[in-house]
Amino acid sequence: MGTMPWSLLIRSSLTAYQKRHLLQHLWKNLLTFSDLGKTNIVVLGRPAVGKSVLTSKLYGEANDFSWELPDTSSEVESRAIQLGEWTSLVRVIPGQTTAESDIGIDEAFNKHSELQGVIFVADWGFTGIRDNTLKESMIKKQGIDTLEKLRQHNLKSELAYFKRACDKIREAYSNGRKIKWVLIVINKVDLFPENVEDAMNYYSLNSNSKFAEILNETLKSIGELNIKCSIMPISAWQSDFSWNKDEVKTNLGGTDIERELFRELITKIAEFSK
Amino acid sequence: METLNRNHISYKEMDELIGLAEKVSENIDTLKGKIKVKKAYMLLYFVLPLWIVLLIILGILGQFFNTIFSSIMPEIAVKLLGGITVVAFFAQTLLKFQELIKIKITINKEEKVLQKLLNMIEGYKDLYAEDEYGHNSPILLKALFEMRLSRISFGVK
Repeated sequence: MGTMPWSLLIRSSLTAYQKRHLLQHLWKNLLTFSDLGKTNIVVLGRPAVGKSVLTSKLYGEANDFSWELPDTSSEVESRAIQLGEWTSLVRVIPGQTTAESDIGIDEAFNKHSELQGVIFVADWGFTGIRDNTLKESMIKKQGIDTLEKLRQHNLKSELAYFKRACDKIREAYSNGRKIKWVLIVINKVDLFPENVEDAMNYYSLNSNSKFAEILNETLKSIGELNIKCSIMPISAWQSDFSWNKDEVKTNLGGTDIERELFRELITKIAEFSK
Repeated sequence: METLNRNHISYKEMDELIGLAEKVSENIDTLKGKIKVKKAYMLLYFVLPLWIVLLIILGILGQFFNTIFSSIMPEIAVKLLGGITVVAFFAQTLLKFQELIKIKITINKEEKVLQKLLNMIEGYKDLYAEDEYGHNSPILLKALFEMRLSRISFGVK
């Protein structure tokens, strides 16, 4: 008689242990739904680099036929994403400077103690301009009339944004937050498949670029052994890119490559998050 | 690298754009505040008749008035009065709901305007930053713009 509850307790504990990943996944989903969870991974990047699309792809919803390409995000997006065995609460910070993005950054870096990693989304200058008035002004009044000029302009702006992001990481470290990893994701590689290596070199820690300089400075100030860093190419959404009279066709070479890049990205995040 | 020969973004242009975004943001905030008040009224108008309906169903009202005020007010009058009150409250709820929808439509429009403005500001801000570094304009102005932008919000939830 007395052994029954014990065997039941042991069996249920064993089942709970075996299903721990599923239980943690459900728990994280509940926390995300109630907006009470603490950020594990924060996604940063300039507007229109593809942060939301990348996150939707990782979440799995972008593969649904009813899914539509998102417009500019005005609010912080939260997703419980399974990366490897465990689920992480991923928050995407809007690229524009607004009260919402400021609060999102502050919560992720200063208030929450569970922030493990930062994903910085870059696009090697292939950032589209969403507003037509601005586009016209940039082409006609500002003289940014070629794709190369636009890329140079975008890369400069990306540097300024990246510097601010690095300042936040340093600030978080000085406040005792232990961010374990930084991942630089180079999105839109379908637009420059032959120059992926050049792009990787530009963002690489070993290059002479201004980007690498900022990244190296940040890692040194934190202590290079305390934080892991990697650069990964990705193509979150394949589409052509045009600017004024210039046009670049998407040319990744099939969905197999796209999937492979995603697989590698997920593996890397899972490895970092262990 | 190609060099740019372009018109520079003036402080006035940036100031006007941010000023407009601030106004729109303030408007959205006020409208969202109004929605909260309307929702509270709706809840009140909706909950009160529910209680009355409950009381009528239970017959408490009828019994209560029958025993105490039966000489003054007949039972049918009490039920009629209760019915009118319920209808009046539900009508009020509907009216508030209609107003709520109108405000939500206005908010959607304002949010689209704000989004467009922010897209423009973000682009101009980058151009302005380049001008600033190239022409030694006061860096404080950029910081001031950043501070003003960080106060612009899509309103309380």
